[in-house]
Amino acid sequence: MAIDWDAIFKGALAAGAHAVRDSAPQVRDFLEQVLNGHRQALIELGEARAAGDLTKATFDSELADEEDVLKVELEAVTVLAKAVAQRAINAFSKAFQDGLSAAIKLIV
Amino acid sequence: MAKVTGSDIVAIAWRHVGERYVFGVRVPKDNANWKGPWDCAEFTSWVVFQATGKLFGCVGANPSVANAFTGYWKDDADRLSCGVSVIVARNTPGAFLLRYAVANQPGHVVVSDGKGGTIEAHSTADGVIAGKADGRRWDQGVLPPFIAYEEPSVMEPPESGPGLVLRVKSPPMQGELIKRVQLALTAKGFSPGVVDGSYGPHTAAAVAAFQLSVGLVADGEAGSATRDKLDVRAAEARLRL
Repeated sequence: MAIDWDAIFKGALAAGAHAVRDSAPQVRDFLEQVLNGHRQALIELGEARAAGDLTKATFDSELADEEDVLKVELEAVTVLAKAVAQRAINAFSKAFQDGLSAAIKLIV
Repeated sequence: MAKVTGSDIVAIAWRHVGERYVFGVRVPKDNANWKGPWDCAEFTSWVVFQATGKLFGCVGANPSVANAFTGYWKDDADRLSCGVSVIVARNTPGAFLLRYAVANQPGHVVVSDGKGGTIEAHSTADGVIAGKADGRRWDQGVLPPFIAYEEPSVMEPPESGPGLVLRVKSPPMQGELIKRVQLALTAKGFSPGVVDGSYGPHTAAAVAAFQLSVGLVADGEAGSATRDKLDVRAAEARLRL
């Protein structure tokens, strides 16, 4: 049974958009646009972690790097305030990790 | 004299697509007729000197013998406070995209065409190419201060990303995937030192040597192209987090 990446990304996108729904209601489209360039990295990272190919510390470090780049790109394409972009990315990332953990528990 | 623009940088770089690459070659920055061979930093520093008459990313004041290196590009970007984010450089014609030189590995530096493309001294196999910025890992962008860059009218995010790239970091990247890369390197005759599943300088040096041998950019980082050439595949999911 494979990891349902579409479901994980859908949930994470919704969480990111929800976190800033009052200050930046348009953020979902931008988040989706920016995420396209990171989808493959996040999938490879998640699958490597799921397979035990990377330690938890390395997974966390790589995910933090992805978050940093996502935040910079989101700020650039939307001219969002840093704090707003940070909030959206934090919520996205937490939902991504939660979704991945849940998916792995289902398939192992 | 009109100030040099980012578009001038792109135009100068374009004239050299197709020329030869030699790793570590030295290029006289003041020779306007140079047609190669190039390496990545020598190419970008030569382009800057030809456009502006100024040395950037080099050590030494004599342009005939100044040594260009990706690490010096980072030094000059820091010293002159002209580093920018990757997305800004990706959308700015004539900006430079930099992958840091880490643990004695050469890194990489290219000219951005502002539309997701590059002009770069790529590798022994391909020479100077018009390539893609998207789908590859970069650490930062650079806008040398003596070039007049226009503000990008549109800020497009990359169409694709690099995926998982194994590289030297602090603390080091660790795991079974790295151990398989080390075993594959050993099997192909490139010793990474102790096979310990930790991506350190020895592993990076072995990866760079392997990359040179198969015509990839010799940056010491093991992305999907390098792992494919090493026949290293991801394992099936088997871990309970």
